[in-house]
Order: sequence, then C-alpha cells, then structure tokens
Amino acid sequence: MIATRQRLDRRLGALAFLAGLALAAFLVLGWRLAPGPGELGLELRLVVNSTGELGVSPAGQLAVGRGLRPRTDRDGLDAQTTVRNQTADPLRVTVRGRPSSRDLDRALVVTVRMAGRPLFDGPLAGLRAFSRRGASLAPGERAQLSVSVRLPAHAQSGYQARVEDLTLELGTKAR
Amino acid sequence: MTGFAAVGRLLRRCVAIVAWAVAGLVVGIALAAVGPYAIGARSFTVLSGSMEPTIHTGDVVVVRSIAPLEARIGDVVTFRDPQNNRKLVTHRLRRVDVVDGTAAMVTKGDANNTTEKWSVSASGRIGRVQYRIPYIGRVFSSVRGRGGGFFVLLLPVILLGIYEVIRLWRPKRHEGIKGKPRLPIDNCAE
Repeated sequence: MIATRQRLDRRLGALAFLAGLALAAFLVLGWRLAPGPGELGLELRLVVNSTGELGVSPAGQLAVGRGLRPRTDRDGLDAQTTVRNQTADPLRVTVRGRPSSRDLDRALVVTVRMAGRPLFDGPLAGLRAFSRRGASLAPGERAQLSVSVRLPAHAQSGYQARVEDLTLELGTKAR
Repeated sequence: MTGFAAVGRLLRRCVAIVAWAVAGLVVGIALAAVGPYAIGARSFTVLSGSMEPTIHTGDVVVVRSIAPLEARIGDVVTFRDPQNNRKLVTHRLRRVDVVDGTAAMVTKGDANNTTEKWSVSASGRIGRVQYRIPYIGRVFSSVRGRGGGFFVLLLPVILLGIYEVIRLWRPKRHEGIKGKPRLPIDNCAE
C-alpha cells in the first residue's frame, strides 16, 4: 500500500515537473520577438520656424509621423500652426520645402494651405522653390497654416525605414 | 487511519506537486536562457530602456548569429556599439545599404529619438534577437554582486536544511521485503 502510494507520488511529481517544463516552453513561445515585417514605414518630422516678418505659433517641430505607409490609415501627417504678420506692411506669403534629403521628392505629396487658400499641392519635388501661389496678410493679421503630407498609393519604395525632416520655409514680399 | 492524517497526506502531496511544477518551470526558463549556448546562440542582459516597451531593462535576450544580409528591416539586432567597441547594443534595424561589400546599417531604439549608423562587413555576423526572458537578468546581475554570490551559496544550504528537517519530522515508515511492513524493531532478534 505504502509502496503504491510512493510510486503514485513519484509519478505525480514527474508529471508536475513535466507540466512546469511545458509551461516554461509555452511562456518562451510568447516571449519570442516577431521577425521584422520586411519594411518599415517612414518617420517624418515636420518643422516650421518663425521669420523676421512672420511669427509662427507654435513654431519648430509641428508634428512627427511614425510608420507612415501608403494605402493605410496612417499614411499621412497633418499639422496646423498660426502665422502672424509682424510687420507694419501687408505681406504676400509663399512657402517652400527643405527636406533633409532628396530621396522622398517623388514619394511624398504635400498640401499647404493658408487661411483656407491653397499655396501648394503636389509632389515634394515641386516645393523646392517658393510656391507660385501666395496668401496676403495685412499688418498684424493672423492666419492658419495647414500642412498635409501624404504617401500616395504609387509610392512603392524609397520611404521604408527612413527618418526624415521636412522644414517648411515661409517667404514674404511686401505688397 | 484518521481523517486528519488523510488530509495531511493530501496536503503534503499537493505541496509536493506544486514544488515539482515550480522546479520544472524554473529549470525550463533556465534552460531557455542558457541552453541556446549549445547551438551557438548567446544571451545578454539588457541594461537600458532604449527598447522599451518591446524589451525592458533587466530582460535577458537570446540572440542568434546571422549574416547582415539575412536581417530584415524591423528585426531587433545586437551589434557592437560604434562608439564603444566593448559594448553591445540591441536596437531595431531600420535600414541596410550594401556598398562595396560593406553593409551600412541604421538602427534605432524603440524608445530613442535618434538613430545610430554603423557598418559591418557583408560577410560578417550580427545577432538577431530570437526571444526575451523578462526580468531574469536582474537575478543574474544580483548574483554577480557580492550579496548575490553569498545568496547562491546559502540557498542550497537552506534548502538542504529544510529538506533534512522535513525528513526528520516525517514519521518513519518501515517497509519489509516487497512492500510488506517490517516487524517492530524490538521484536527482532540480534
């Protein structure tokens, strides 16, 4: 009777030990790091700074988009800031882009609006020079600057795993 | 046999089962941490939070050696710190460019704002993290300290002491041949 009980205890102990090992294996499976997806999205930092004539608030880094990919709901970066004419003269405001590299010139589509008026809408490459269209700002007047950056569906490569800055420069001309 | 004795035996059995299960779990996790050495993998304790929340400080990562071109963007890789060759860094791979037999890598910690650029021969080796074991690196680190060493020496002694106390405390069972009870000792002839 005692020997039978001891045998049972030994078997239960062995089973419990194996169950512990199995639990450890199960836990380790859960702690595996998923392999890389093969491609990462774009990390884009959007920057707008004040100039002598125009005050920008908030200024500096307006937004950061991480994991931007085409054809996903995270495929765009939107930001807004307020621009104020700090001079005593009416100004015509234009915009141009200064990306940290030229690699995204064809991949990114940028839309810039001021006070609801489009200043630029097209590939980043077209924003190297100051936009043809401008918006007028009376002395002391404020206007909202909206920026939208998208990776269109045809952007197949060139953006993966990149970390880029897009600085928007505001240009002025007295009217 | 009294009911108390039966309950006591059942309790002891349950405690023994739980103890064996915990022992199996501990052995299994220890095997997961050091076992991969047998197949050429290595394990490292993570000392910073640069990969939070994917990998926490004090986790142990088990790393398999791969060629740089086997790595995929998004993999978590271990490499020598370009600024301090004696230090290993585990960060996520963001970009690989191979030029003239050299793989230029860009990596970034999930919790970091900046990337780091480093290069390795395209025929060289880097480490790819296979899995992590949460927090046991803290145990390893404390064991390396003076107090930890003392604990490691003392623990088996304490466990052995407990085992001996239990053995003395448990009633002795006299078994005869083939499991039959022996005669009481005072009835035996010398």
